[in-house]
Amino acid sequence: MRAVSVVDYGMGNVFSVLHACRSVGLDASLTEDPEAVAEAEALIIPGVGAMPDAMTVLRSRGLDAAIVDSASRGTPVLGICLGFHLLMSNGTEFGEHEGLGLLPGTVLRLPETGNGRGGVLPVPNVGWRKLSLSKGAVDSPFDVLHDGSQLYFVHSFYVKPDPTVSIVATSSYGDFAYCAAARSGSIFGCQFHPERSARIGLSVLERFAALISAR
Amino acid sequence: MASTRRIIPRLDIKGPNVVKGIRLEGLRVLGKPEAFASYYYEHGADELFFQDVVASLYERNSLHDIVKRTASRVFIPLCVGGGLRSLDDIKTVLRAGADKVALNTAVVRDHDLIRQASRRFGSSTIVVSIEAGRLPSGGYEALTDNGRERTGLDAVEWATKAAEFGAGELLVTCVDVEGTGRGFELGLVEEIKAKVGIPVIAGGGAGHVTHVADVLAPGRADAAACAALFHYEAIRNIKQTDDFHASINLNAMRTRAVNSSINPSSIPRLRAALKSAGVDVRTTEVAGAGA
Repeated sequence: MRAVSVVDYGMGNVFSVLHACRSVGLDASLTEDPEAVAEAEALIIPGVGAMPDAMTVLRSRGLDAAIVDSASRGTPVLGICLGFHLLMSNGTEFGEHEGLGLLPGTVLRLPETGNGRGGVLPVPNVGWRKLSLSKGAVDSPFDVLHDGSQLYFVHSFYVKPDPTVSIVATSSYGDFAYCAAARSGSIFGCQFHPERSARIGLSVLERFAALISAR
Repeated sequence: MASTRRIIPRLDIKGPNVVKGIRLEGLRVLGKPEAFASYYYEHGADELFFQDVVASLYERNSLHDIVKRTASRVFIPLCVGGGLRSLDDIKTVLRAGADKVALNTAVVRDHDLIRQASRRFGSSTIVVSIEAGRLPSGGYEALTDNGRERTGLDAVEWATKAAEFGAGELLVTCVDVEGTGRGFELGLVEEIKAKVGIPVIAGGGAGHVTHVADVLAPGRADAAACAALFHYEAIRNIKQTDDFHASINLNAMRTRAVNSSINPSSIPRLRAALKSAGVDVRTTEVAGAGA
């Protein structure tokens, strides 16, 4: 049975993640229990909000150590939006602070980007945006996507991975290209919301389910 | 370049039903929110917006149930507004499956609630809904309580302030055009868009696909929320089930009370019209897109 634990630390639309997973045949359950997280077959880390607050909550519940412990055993982990940011070494929102350190790299605020008419694009970046795929997509939940696939984004910060991390997809905010999805081994992260990106988003979760089964 | 615009069906909800009214008076029951939500999802809506138009404590539970049922089968972003007064109210509706909340009355009374909510839930989760009423002297006043109460605040100034306090997006509706089908209040949308650095959603007034193209033009809204434009097409096509009180709806459709300014459109047909008009919108593969 393909099971995934969705880490519930009180931030983000966990209800939607849960139901999106179930709709593609994943036995998904919410958990805030560090033991369950440490022993999970697979993990999804959702989230919307500020990274330092999220890290504070994870630490206070021992979930940070549990996630790292689980990942160290090769458990597939999918970080979505803020969940992706949390996987990184550090972030810069409200001052520099540490992330989980599972993917080397940092999290930065989207820069002011021209809108082509003398003004700047609004922040947060909200809406359906196109992806450009890279070779690193093979054998990841993202290999169901292709150049031009449109997924739903809502964010003010973006991930800047270190070179050791494989950037699987990029997207553009005006002329500014940024990482839309990345992976290192079985650790995957996406800036977009597969659980809110209609059928194409569900196909990413379905692919994640297949990867879990294949282990 | 302008970013891809969003098409957002708006459902006004009273108790267990979707309703529609003109200028927020004379509500008519159209059917069940879940049926409309599923229909719009299947036809390529970019997001959904639920507005609770009664917003009393009694009705709150049915709204949460509607949100849960919708969020468990419709996998696009959902924004919910109407009667949200506190951080706890926001938390409850988010846990029920909403992605964003729209706030008006509560944040006019307490501007700092925007900052608190934004800090706690993420600014992108917090949409401030501006209901603007035309003033005889020109300009607009911000209204609350579904357009019933005056605030004395200049709507454009208030919009700017809401953005400063940490709103993630603004939903801008002019109550004088809402439900009339005569078009959005373009000048108001432009004025607000020029002053804020956050996305602006135009709500209220669309009666024809060209109205939507107009409001999504460069310098105007990033997204358009439409109700009657979509509902009067949906109502003809949603399969009748026990949940869907067909008798009420068909009668409503047949009477001359239906606003003749509305030229109903499906979402795919709107999408095609927007593309022809040069508006950048998402490409979806939905039956009827070529129609």
